[in-house]
Amino acid sequence: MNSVEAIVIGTLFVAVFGLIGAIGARRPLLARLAFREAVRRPLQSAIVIGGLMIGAGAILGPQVWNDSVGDSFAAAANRSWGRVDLTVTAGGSYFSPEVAERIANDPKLKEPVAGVQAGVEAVGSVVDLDRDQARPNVRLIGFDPATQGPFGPYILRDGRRTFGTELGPGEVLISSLLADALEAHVGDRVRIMLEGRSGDLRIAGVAMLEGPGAYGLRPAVFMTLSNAQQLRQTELINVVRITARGEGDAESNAARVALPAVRGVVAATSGGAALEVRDDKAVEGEAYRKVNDLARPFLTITSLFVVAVGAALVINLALTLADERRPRLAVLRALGLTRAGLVALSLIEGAMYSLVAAVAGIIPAALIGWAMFSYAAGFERGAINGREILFEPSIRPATVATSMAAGALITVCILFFASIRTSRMAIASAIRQLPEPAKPQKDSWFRRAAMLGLGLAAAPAIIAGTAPLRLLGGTALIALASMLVRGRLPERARATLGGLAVAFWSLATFAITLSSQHGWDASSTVILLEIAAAGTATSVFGLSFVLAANLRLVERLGDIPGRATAGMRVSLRPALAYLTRQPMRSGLATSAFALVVAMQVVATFNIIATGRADYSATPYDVVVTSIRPPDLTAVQSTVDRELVIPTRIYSGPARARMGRYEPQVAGWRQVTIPLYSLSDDLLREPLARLRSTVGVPPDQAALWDRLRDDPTAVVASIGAPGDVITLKGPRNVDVKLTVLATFGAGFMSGIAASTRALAPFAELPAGITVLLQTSPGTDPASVAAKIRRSLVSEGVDATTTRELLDAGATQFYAANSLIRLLMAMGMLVAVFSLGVLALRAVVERRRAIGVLRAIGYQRRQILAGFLGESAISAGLGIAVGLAAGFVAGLLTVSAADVAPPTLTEQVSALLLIGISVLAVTLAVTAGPAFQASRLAPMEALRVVD
Amino acid sequence: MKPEQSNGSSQVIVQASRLRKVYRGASEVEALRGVDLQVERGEMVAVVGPSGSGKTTLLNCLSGLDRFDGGKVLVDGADLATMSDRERTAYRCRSMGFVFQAFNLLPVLTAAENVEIPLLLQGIGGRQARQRALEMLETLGLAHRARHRPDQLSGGEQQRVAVARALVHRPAVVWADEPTGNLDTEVTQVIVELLMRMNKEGQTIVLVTHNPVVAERANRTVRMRDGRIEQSAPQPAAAL
Repeated sequence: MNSVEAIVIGTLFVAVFGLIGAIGARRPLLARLAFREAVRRPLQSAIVIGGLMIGAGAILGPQVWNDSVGDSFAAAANRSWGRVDLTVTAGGSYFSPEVAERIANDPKLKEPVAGVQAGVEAVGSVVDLDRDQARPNVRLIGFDPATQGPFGPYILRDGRRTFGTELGPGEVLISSLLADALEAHVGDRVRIMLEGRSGDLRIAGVAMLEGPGAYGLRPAVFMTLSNAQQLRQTELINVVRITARGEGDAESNAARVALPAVRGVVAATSGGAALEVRDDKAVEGEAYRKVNDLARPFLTITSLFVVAVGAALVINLALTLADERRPRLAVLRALGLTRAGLVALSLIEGAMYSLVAAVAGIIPAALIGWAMFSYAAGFERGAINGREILFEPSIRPATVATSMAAGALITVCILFFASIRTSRMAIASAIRQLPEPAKPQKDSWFRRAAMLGLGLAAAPAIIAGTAPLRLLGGTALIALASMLVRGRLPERARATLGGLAVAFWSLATFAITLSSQHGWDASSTVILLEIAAAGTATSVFGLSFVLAANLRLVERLGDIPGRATAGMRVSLRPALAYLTRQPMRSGLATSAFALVVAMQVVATFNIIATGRADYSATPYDVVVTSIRPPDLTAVQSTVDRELVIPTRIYSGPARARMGRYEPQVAGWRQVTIPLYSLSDDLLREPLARLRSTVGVPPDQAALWDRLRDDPTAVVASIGAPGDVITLKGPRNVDVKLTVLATFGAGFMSGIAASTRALAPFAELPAGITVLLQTSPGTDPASVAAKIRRSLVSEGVDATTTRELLDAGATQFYAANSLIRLLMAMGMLVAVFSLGVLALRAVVERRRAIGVLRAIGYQRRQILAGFLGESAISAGLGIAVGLAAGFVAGLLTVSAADVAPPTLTEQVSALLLIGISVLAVTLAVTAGPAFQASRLAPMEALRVVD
Repeated sequence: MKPEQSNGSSQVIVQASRLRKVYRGASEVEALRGVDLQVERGEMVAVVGPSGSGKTTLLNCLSGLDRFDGGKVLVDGADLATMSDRERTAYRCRSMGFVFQAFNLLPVLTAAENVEIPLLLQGIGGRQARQRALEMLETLGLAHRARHRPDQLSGGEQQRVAVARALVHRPAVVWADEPTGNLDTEVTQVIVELLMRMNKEGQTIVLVTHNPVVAERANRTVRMRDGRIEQSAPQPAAAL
């Protein structure tokens, strides 16, 4: 939560609970009564608190996840740069080392700058000649040991620390990531290949991921500047690294102060116009914080689903408790307690529950957050452009306090409105436990104000709002129309029409928004996610409303099995009656179930559709990467077709989203990505099926034609169709590329475009990517393994397309699984709430159970009635949820531009969700149902509570 | 064990001998101390006495709602003490009707639905059960309120529905615990007239009451004190 939200929630919490505390202090009798009610049934109070704790956990969990991922990303950005605060580069080109000397000797920079280092940074391949292991795309970092001091020492695995001064002419350090990838040891000979040149060196040490050894957070070779220049055969450098004085914030501040001064010095040097001074560490850290902050609303919305289920539980519970305590409360009213006093009594009791739940819930809620984060860490690995991220949980006291305060406030707020409703009792009837006499419906000022407010808020939202606002505005307008026709239409017709209108409006707005979506620009991603969540929720509530109004039909349906067996009918009669004659309670339980079931279905459909790698997208089965054209004669007999794609490695700043679900970020980020240069010949022979929302359905031929003709069009694995990616070209000129389409996730990661589009990057280090189509009957994995074995000394890597696509699909699977995990928590709350309600129903209906037993109901009939009621309540919710989730799931899948789940997959998913939820519900309510069936008739009739 | 078959020739429908009931809590309270009672078929018996004398406990034990600690109860020839819970429940369903002080209608069911429950429990088809329930409500002057729920009925109407529910399956005995306790004088009169009418048609009724006006209308008054029957005397013919 941001600081404004935290301040608002904190202030509200203090005000509301302060007020309730003051009431309790001024009216100790109410406080004592509330306390006695709360402790009267410890087990049930514990269950209520348990439910609230899960609700609070649902709020806090995603926030902890978000904080942890955000902080880990920011920390990774920080670690990735180490003590390097500023860099001077020329868009990858080489320049004179004098630039570094000038900066180091400038008197104005003595104070803020602690160290300046000339360096070389490039990307090449490394072969461990002693282990027969190779690794392409390794960062080669040339550093000057003489100036390494202020940047800190390399910490080696054997415990030694070095600034590099001990390194001999033929010795290098390698990062622990590279050592692990190559299974390399100290003393091994390594061949380093860079831009067509190679050199054999010896590993003098393995640098831990700390200090300069973490630089880049990717597999790297650290070599002295002279070694790097010798390998590159140049005396020039391509980077100047600058570290500011101080530690932590002091260092950041000093870097900020130094930035303009360094720019001034650089501008004054010869050729300075081509150089750019960047504060990458600060910019990158800020960019990831922004990404995280922008992702937070979706997480909050998702967690609100669980909160909504929890709220339904609290309302239902409040109504049940009010019914159960009605005679006692009526006695208090008779003795002189005002209606306001009755409301205060409920509020004090609710405040006790919510406060205990908030305090007791901190640890389990934090554990939920930590579990979600740990799960997320598994698939977020490498999320910062392939860099190795150390994920650490981040539990901020402010987030914990604010989430818990929000949960407590929601509970108290719901109880306030519920208690106003229940405080309207006819005292005489309530004391004698007689039914509440019917009251004429009055037009209140509150209702008029609500209508006016709805009208005023809805109109501008529909006319000028975004899609989610239009959705909510339309829903409000339907509610207003329903209020206006009150009394003019039968209640059932009014509720049915209103509910259907809301459901239709929700799904229509959802569908229209998706169909008008061409490309995935910055804001539309968030809007789509919001409308997916809000549309599902409102349609579910609409349908639940329809069902609640028409439950009598269900009661008639219940008569059908009754014709076969009178016993079953008579067993279900009271259960069905309780459902149909209490539409508000039934509607709440139904919608709570429906909501989480719908989201489960949406998440499951997306998991099936996006998590399934489309192996037919390309005819090529093996991808080979190499520094120079590899000699593939060893596998030639098993290969039918071969496609050679010139590839360059771009390592520098980029302004782009990394994924389609990521909001647009203004800042630059350091990336290392391959650029695949497709000649006109290659563009005539489509190498894979493209995925795009620019043309729906995508016309493959048209997309490939446009790729050939448009010098800015690219196929990219970062961003999404419609995005503009900005890279730095020669002399630091911005090169803007428009994403036309994507390949299947995992395949050809990077940017593929026509040779013309990638012309600005022609000077970058060159490599080769070869796509192979193996002969029928040949195992692509064995071909890839054979290539790796035979060409290891040349640093060639080969992987099967299937492996790449599977790895790409894993991320979608994991991301959707997380939503499903959150919804499973919601389901837990919903099932829990039915269990609690069943338990309360035993108390509330004690007398009714006694009457039924007295007039001849057998124990098994009472048991069947209770179980039947839970099953029907959950079953209706499941039905609505499956229906809404089915439509919303197919709509969201179509937006992701992937093949929808097959009919068998759809049916299996729906059945699995439906049956498992029903089974868990029955298991949870079996206990209270059994308890009800064991009540002795006289005991139940004699004792009211 | 199955209940004993009724002996049609016997005039005694309820027979209690040396009936004992002890409530065990923080301290033991002996609510019934060896009660002997006989109720004849077609009789209307009023059980009266001060609070705590054991009236309701006696009624609950005789009707099979509560278990007892000693003695014997035969209702229409069936020994309640030897029946399992299931058998007693089935027996109540078939042979007994109940009217309570607080009406105890199911709040979520309509008047007709409340009345038809005993019939449905006996396996009578839905249409036939509804027909008989409506007929019973018509007999009690409530046909026009058949589709109303308890909260839409007056206290008197609710109790009349409760009476209808108790009578609809033609039970051997109707047990009424303070049936007029929640009603005003005028409505009390209506209910008493109703019970008497049913009694005249041959229905056995045992009722517990504090109201002397109601007790006076019974064939016989059983007066209880401290868990024992203090006096059992028929009403003077003039009162009937």
